Amino acid sequence: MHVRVAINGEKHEAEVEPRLLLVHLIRDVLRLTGTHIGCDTTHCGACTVLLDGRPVKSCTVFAVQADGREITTVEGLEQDGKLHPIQEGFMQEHGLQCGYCTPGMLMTGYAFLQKNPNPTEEQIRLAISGNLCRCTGYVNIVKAVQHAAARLAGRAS
Amino acid sequence: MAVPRIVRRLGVSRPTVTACLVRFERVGVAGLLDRPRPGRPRKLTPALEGRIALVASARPRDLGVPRADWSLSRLREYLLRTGMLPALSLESLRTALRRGGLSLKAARTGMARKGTTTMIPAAFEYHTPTSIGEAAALLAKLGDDAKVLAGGQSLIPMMKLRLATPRHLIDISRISGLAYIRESGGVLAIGALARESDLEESDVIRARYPILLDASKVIADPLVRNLATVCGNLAHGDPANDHPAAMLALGAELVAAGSKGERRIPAASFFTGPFSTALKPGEILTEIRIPTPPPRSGGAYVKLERKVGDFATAAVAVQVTVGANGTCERVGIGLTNVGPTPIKAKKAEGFLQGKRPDEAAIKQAAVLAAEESQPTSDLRGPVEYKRDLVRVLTARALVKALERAGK
Repeated sequence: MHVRVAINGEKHEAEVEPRLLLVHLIRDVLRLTGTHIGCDTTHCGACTVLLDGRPVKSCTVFAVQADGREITTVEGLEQDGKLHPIQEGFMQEHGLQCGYCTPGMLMTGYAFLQKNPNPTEEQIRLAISGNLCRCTGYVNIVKAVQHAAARLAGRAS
Repeated sequence: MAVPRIVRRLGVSRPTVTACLVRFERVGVAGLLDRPRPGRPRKLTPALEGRIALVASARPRDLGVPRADWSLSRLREYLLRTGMLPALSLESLRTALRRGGLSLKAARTGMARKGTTTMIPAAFEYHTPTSIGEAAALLAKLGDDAKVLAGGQSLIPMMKLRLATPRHLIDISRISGLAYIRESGGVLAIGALARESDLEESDVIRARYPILLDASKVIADPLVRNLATVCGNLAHGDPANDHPAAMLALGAELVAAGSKGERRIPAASFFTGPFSTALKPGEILTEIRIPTPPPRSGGAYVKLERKVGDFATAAVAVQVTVGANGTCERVGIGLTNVGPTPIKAKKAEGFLQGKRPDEAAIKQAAVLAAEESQPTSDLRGPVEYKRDLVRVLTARALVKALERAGK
């Protein structure tokens, strides 16, 4: 089947089998490998991308379902060579060790801050509850999101 | 690709592969289609075979059968008792298992549950109807070979594990005008494409349906809720899903659309067995209708889960209306994941009806609800623990619902 999607603002077309998963379209067909495949069972959230602005698990969406829609992947966060505050936050606060869950965490955090620019710690923890980190626990990840929230609000953290 | 590789990949015999290749050489792609077969038509459709595979690869205890392993007759007895299959000989059951790549031995030793899975769904044809009428017509035509796809957050994981292998997916998400949550004429209507996250964000739900807000916050995780639909949570028929109990408590009606029109099914008669509902072949669940609660009503959904995203160890939904004299005018209580279907706790409801909900009455109703539960031992806990949990959660949900009714 023919699929047309806009990924990070750029239009892509591909001929795919209906059973192809969105994450495989993104990684294997379009070669955007920033999005990771973790558990493949709808648990871990490493494959999180934004579908029409909402974070979803791209291992649990068929590519054909995304036809005609807009997708944002981790490659789309950086603008004009400048990291997005959420990316900066993960760097500054050491929000990662192995980095496997990071693309998913970044996408979830990014979408969450757009909806809720001034969150409490509890709200952040609930928002990232569909993204699993197996390295460190979540203390620094929460701090990273807080860092980004402060930056986006124009406050120094 | 060489014949032996195809044989391995498809798991069919060498003569079959050779015959297919020969037919392809002679008549092209048309030669690959299944030709009409002589004899009686097959009784077991792929969808029914899928159900068998689903049950066979579950642990009997998880489905309320107090045995460690399936035997052929035990499996047959279960499928017939729950109405998942109309009739079935042991021999056809054996054949169906074999065709699904499941030997009973594999199911028994747990091999079917681990190690042998692939994460790529079986191939299917994808349909995108643009109206409910068109979708129902497609479903009627394709029959048991087709599944309706909305959010896909239960169906796609099952397809990846090959527990479901529909040959056709009818994606209803391109049908416009189905994503509504609206209250009018004394009814809250939730359309087939309303997502769980829509429920969480809806002002109407926040203001007047705390039971649904409670439930939508504990279903799966926030990412899954961005796609999962409320109607799908019901139509899937999983006794571990959270919304069914809430719908039982609220006295909801479910609208089923088929090629011959619509009918309404009370939630209380919708859930007929594990993964089975009162939807007939060719019917699509298009709307949930909930009577708007009168003044002095309150609801709550209380769930114990081991971690975010897990199914309930047990959960209880309560919706209550308190009369001007302080007695319970209407009580609805639904139980999650403590039986082969979501359970309406009728005895507990009946006990509270017309009574003043004081501490003693709440305590007694909770005991009755626990008696009505039919939990099984599994990795989430033994029977005794779960039954007592139902008692505790029922009391908590009642207190919370009454508190909200008083506001």
